[in-house]
Amino acid sequence: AVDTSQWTCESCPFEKASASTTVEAGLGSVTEDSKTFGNYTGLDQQGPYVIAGGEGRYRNDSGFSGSFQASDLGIDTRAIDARVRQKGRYSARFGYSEIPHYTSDSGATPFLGAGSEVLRLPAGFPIATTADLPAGSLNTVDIGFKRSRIDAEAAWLGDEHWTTSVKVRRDVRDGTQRIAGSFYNTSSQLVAPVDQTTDQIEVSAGYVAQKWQLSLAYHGSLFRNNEDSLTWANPFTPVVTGATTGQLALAPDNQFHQLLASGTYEILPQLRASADVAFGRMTQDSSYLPVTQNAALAPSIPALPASSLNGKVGTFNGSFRLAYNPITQLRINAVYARDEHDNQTDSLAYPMVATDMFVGTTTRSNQPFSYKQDRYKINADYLGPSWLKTSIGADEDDRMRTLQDTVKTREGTVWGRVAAQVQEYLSVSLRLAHAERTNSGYGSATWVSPAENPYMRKYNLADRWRDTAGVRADITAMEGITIGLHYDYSEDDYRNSQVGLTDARSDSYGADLSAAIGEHTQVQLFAASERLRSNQAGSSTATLPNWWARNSDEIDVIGLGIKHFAMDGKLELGADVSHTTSRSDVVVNAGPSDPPFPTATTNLDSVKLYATYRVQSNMSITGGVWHEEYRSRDWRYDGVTATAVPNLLALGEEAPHYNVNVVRMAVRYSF
Amino acid sequence: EEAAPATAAAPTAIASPGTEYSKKGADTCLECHDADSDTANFTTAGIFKNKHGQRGDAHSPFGPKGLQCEACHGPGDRHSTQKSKKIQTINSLKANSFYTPAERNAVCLSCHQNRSRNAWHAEAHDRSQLACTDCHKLHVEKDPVLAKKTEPDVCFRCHKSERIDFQKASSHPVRFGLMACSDCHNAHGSGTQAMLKKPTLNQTCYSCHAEKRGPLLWEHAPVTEDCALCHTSHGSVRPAMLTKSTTSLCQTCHSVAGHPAVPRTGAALPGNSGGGSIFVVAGGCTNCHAQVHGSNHPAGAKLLR
Repeated sequence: AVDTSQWTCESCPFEKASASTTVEAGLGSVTEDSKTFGNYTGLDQQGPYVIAGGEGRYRNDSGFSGSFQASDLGIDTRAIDARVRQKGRYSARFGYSEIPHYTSDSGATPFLGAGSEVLRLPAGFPIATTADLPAGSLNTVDIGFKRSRIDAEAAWLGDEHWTTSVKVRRDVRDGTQRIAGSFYNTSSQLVAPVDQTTDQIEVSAGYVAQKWQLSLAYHGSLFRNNEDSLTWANPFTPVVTGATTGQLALAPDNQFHQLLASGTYEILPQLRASADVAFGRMTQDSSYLPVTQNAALAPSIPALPASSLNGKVGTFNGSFRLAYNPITQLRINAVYARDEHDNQTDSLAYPMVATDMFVGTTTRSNQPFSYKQDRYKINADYLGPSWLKTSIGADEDDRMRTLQDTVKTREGTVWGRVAAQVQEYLSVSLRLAHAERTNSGYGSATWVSPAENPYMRKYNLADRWRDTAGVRADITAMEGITIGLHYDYSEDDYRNSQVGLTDARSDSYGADLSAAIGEHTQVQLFAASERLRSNQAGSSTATLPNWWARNSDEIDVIGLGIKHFAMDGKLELGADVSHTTSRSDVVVNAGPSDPPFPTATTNLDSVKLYATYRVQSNMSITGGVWHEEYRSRDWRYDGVTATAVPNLLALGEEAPHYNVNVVRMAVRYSF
Repeated sequence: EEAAPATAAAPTAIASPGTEYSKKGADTCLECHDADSDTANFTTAGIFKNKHGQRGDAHSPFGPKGLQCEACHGPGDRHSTQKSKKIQTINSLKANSFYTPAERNAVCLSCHQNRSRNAWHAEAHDRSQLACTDCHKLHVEKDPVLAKKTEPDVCFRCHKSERIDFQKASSHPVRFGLMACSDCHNAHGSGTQAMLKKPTLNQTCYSCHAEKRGPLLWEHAPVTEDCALCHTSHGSVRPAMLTKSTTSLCQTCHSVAGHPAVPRTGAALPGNSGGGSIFVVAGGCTNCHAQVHGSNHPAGAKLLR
């Protein structure tokens, strides 16, 4: 044992027992109303906003410490984090945060009560087509919701081996979201209420010994929806008597409970094993809504076989891992994992009712899908000579499914990778992989209803070859300057798919640079491109393909970040600039005269300039300017007004665009 | 998976910190590693502002009977003597250390081995020979990788494609500092695919999107199997983080008789002559099949209610 009695650490700049608080207060201003810009920023409204935040710390000599942090208190991204800790005994945390998720502010609807459970119509409805929409009946509507989260956790250190912890979290989502409701061949885009609460709890205990560790945990999640349905008046003249009102089911309450155990054991210094198992149960038993809102239809509909689903799913997730270093340079890993999703819900025959208009002559049974997945992995890494690392591996992924088009898929993958320190300033790596997936037979499933095109191969079940490659290089050009280059490639070939997805390819490449210029300036630069392409074949006759389509996305990103310290560190200046563009094309080839879809594009330019000046040791002034411009074109929305499609009462949203400037100035004061 | 370069040259005979600890502990170290030796990215003073530099904490290296700097950097007597080969006589814990990543990590794991690192030994980051200090900074008040707003930049140093994903028009709010990579992933290894925090991808998604969990009366098979069959986890230029637009996406799996997969081209756009706009614009297929994630309505078999 080392005698440290004389290690007084007199020159160590320990923090004294102290309390400190910093508050931040100021004003900002936004130049434009935009829900799209406000999405995730909270700055959705034109005009001034309050900047308020702060942090504090307390620490004493007995090992107790506490801290809090608050940010963005004046806008909808506000967050609070508070912690206390007694060293070696316990720690606790409380948090609150909000995330605004605004979808749209360019829509309009004739429905009254948007955001409630019941949507009514003003005078002038029903209409034969949207061309008959009563004048002045549209009201603008914002769509989006805010997620508010309260979470807390506490951990106790029993002794040097034991840790026990409890975590709880409540997420509340409040607002609206886009949905749609149809009657036969007419449809309306609707605004549905969002009023949901999810409570989660995790209780765990862990024991750590020198050679092994074990932990047990319980996880519970309870979802509750305060709105179980959305009822809307049919704006179109019904072709069936009584079909004047429809009702959509919103997400029902559900629960998930799970027991988890995990452990690690060092069998030998060179051989380590670990495992996880989790048993879970998902349940849902909310009362069914009425099968129809059409009183004229109701008498002809047979009784439902149950008043609620009594849905139950058992889950199992387990994995076992071994890592072995027989010699210093060689390492072997092996993994086996199994995931099960066993849907034990009864399959019952339900009457067929379509859009409150038609009653089927037969019944249809629900299909409680189940899955089992087994994954096997083995790989080896060899280091030698010292500048070269070589890795090879083989994986297998076997999946069993019930009630689907094929019973089993098996995918095998082989891969290899080399990573070399070619020079002291240059390292490169190359990774190659090839995977082959086959299914146990397609088209023999009699339980798929309605029967699918016999030539269709769903892409998650289809035979597939997948080839991937990745190359990267990291260069230390000189002291403080590093350059990275990368290229990734992936190609999928659905070899036996005549209808459905037939092939897909992605290419991604880019470069980045990080430089420290002198002691006071840091620069980061990155540029990257991605190309995604896929081809599919379709059949309008539910037989052999008679049309083909090509989807492609091109994304380019360039960004620059600069941070500079001046005036002996009193002044911090910074800039973040980025430019992102994308082009998306869908080309459908069904004949010589078919026009293509216009290209959908997005352009995002963002410039942030900021500065912080330390006026005195306990006070600083911070400010910034943020310019962001977003332009997009999307044929799915552009020109699709409420009256543009005769049988679709659309919200008439535009592809989003904005041009926003934000200025902010705040003072930070510590005491 | 990202590959880290192989380690630098193996230790030479001289590369050894020796076995003797310094005479005065940190006071010895700080004679040289003082404010004059600070750089923009490293200060010795920084550690005294975080958990590692607390003398009131028995678990801290600077706590009672703690080995102070040498608790992590190893015996420093030889390093502190004149004419020693500085970089070869101390465990710097930096990337250019003569110690292997595993040896450097052993220092950290001697205190930080717990259940969140159960699978470290079998996961990509360990296999890629990442050291704890490749991601974590110890000599700072706040480790950037532990803060939601600054963590992604640490991950993007290797996971370069993901930086693009989060710049796309439809993405999780990582770019805005409201989510971090660690909200879904356990960088220390979890034994799951993609090192997710929950046992499966869907269970990970349900931790924030519990309304999609069900079980439901009428389920859509790919939804219950794997969210990633239709959505990208990080970001997409398509709305709702979809891999393709709704009509194209749906028609890659659906081609039934009675509701045929008619080719929809630009002719179907409003104002053109083709008709069928309702199948293409706004929500496309979901204009009618709005309950694409499944329905608990007794008349929702076709996901219309």
